[in-house]
Amino acid sequence: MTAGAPVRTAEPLATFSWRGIRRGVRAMAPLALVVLPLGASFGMAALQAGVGASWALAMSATVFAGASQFAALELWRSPLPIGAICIAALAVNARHLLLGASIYPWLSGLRPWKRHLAVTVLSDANWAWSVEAHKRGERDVGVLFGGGLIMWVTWLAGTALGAAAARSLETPERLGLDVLMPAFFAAVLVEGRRSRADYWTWGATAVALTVAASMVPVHWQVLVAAVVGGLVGMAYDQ
Amino acid sequence: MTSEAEAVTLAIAGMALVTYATRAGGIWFMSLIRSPPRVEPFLRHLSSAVLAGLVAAATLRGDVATGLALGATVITMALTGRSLLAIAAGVISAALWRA
Repeated sequence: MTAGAPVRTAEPLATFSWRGIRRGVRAMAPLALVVLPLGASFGMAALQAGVGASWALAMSATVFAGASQFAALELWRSPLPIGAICIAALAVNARHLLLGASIYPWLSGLRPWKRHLAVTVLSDANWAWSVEAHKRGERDVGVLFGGGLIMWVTWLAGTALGAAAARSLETPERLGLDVLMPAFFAAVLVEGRRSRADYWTWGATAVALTVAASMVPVHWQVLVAAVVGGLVGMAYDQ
Repeated sequence: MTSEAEAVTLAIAGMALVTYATRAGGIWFMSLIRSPPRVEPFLRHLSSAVLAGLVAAATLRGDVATGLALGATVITMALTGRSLLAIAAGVISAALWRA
């Protein structure tokens, strides 16, 4: 899969090669190790939420986005609120749009099908690393793809391990595992804060949620509250 | 396939499609237009807001152990910046409180 591509933008060149992919795999491998226990925590949480092991694996394989997968578990009940789950996934993963847009100048040097292949495994970690690499002169989009690939593999492996381990656990609450999902969100939330606007966003969301809890059906409370919070955060910035 | 299995398949397929749309949407959108207006700040805050909403919902719904655990997670995360440590702190706090 070696390629140069006709230049269409100010970027000198972009390639997508096996060598680049291997570079990406090597670069992200240490971080991918951390993804293993994260995947395991999802696998365990999935079983606790009533999602079967094979469904959990299918989700990790095709979605490959931890926050939205945990969010889906939060909404998981019978009958399954498919619409709310998909919209939640859209909302939680919306930041990918910015990740993709920010590397467009680089990726535009590739043909569309290669661009769209490269982003299948786009996530915060390999995006961040690739942006840094690009600043250092890296032009091979394979590093983005390779980094994502290795994380996808460990995310899957972790999910499988967690699902297998969960079968032997009898009282997840006693071990505190029922807070695992919310704790994951909380950690990502705190890690993602950038400015004072974020505190306003969080506060507005919490208030909106409390209000929405009495007015809006359960599955949509978080979404309504989040839109309000998002608007408040945006308003604070302006 | 049972209707439950159908529902789960639909949900996962929907999530996968939607998530890929978020991954490809940026480069697709940028190929059509040069500068996005106020969409960017809103999206940035929206992602943060959804996470905040999920944490708030868990806190409202949960018991004292949940609140303690999430507090421990937030504090640990703010102090150390290590997410696995923060999650472990939360889980252990809940377990200890319930013991």
